[in-house]
Amino acid sequence: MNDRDARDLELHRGLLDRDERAFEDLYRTYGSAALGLAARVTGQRALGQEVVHDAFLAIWRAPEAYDPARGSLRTFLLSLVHHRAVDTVRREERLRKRGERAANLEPVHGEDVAEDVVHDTFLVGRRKEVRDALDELPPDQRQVVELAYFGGRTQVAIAEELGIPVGTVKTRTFAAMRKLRAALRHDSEVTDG
Amino acid sequence: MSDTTGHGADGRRREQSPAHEEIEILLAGYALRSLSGDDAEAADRALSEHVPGCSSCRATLDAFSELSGELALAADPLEPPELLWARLRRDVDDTAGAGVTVPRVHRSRFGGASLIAAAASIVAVVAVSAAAFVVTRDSEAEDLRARLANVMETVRAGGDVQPLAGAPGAADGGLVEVAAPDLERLSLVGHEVPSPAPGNVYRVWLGSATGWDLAGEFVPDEAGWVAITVPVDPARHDRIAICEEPAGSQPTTPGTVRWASTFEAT
Repeated sequence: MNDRDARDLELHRGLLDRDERAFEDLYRTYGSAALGLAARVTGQRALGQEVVHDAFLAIWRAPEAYDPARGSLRTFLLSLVHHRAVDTVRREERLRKRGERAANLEPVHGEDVAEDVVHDTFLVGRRKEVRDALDELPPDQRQVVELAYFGGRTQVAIAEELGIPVGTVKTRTFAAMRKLRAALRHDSEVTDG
Repeated sequence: MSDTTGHGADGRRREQSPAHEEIEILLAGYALRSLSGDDAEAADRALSEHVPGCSSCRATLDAFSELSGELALAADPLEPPELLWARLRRDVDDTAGAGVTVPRVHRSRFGGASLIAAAASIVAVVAVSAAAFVVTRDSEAEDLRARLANVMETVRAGGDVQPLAGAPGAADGGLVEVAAPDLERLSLVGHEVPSPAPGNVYRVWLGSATGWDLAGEFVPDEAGWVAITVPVDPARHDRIAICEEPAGSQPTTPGTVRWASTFEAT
């Protein structure tokens, strides 16, 4: 186990003990990653903030939902953020289809990127590993993963958008996830030493 | 002889059966939250009927779920505004049990149990849309139940509880009312709430005449206690439904309605 994951387990124990300092530590560590993800998926910074707020509040209120045996607190939290962001995207799509407009929200700008926000060296390194793993995917596999994960699209919508069968989207997604799993598991083992 | 781990007796990974590979393909889409329609239903069935008993598929699910969190790091980080932390701090303090405020609320019946809809955030127990939770048996949970019991007694004794006319879709003719002029969050508190069928969860849907939004999900604890707080937009929502649906599914419309009613502003 790397130092970051070990510290996160301590934070989780703090959450279980209702320690607000542990909660703030968790937020300070992962808030920027969470907002970056949420804003990218929803396409709106304000919506992204709502997603982040709800996700962190959820983990404060129910820290027992995280099971250390099934993965790191980091991936649990960020997966929670992702799920809520996708739900938000789908909800906003339904509203648009019903003729209702989303609020006039500030879109995400490239210059908002917080280059110096992340001081956690583990996260900086892991980010590079994840990006490298994505870059190493065949373009068609990377495309379906990005449309699904960062675009909040369903596989059916991806198929329609790319003009390919849904089955092709499924197999490309599966192949990509297997490659990513292998690449990041190897990288994780190297990082942990 | 091989087992369900995907490995033969000699420890070497055996060829995956077509069924296993189909399930793993579904799990990949599930982890990315990109399933819909029949595929989402197939994943629900696999998650409830196959995966729990298959260590290979459980490992795949865990690995893909882990990836779902790791991929987040590929997005450029964005500095959250301090206002967001201030808001979180306020909401965390609100859930610390400093006090229970119960404005105008109304009682309803839900399968024989009491389910109270209150316009204020009540106590520190919340179900999240991504994971149902169960209140565990420990001292904190007992304190929580005591607070919830106080809430319910306050409501019953308050003289402000008024039954409403029957709501469409209510399984037992139960009635519900949520009233608050500036409602932002809806809290549902329940006692002796029946458990859903194995593999299912209850989901809270908020809607209007033109459609529904999934707001949250929950599973009662062993004693039938439920406490869930969900965000609500009174400009868009004028009705609530609680539905029983497969755990892990990704619905876009309400499933089997167990309890439903409309809001009434005061």
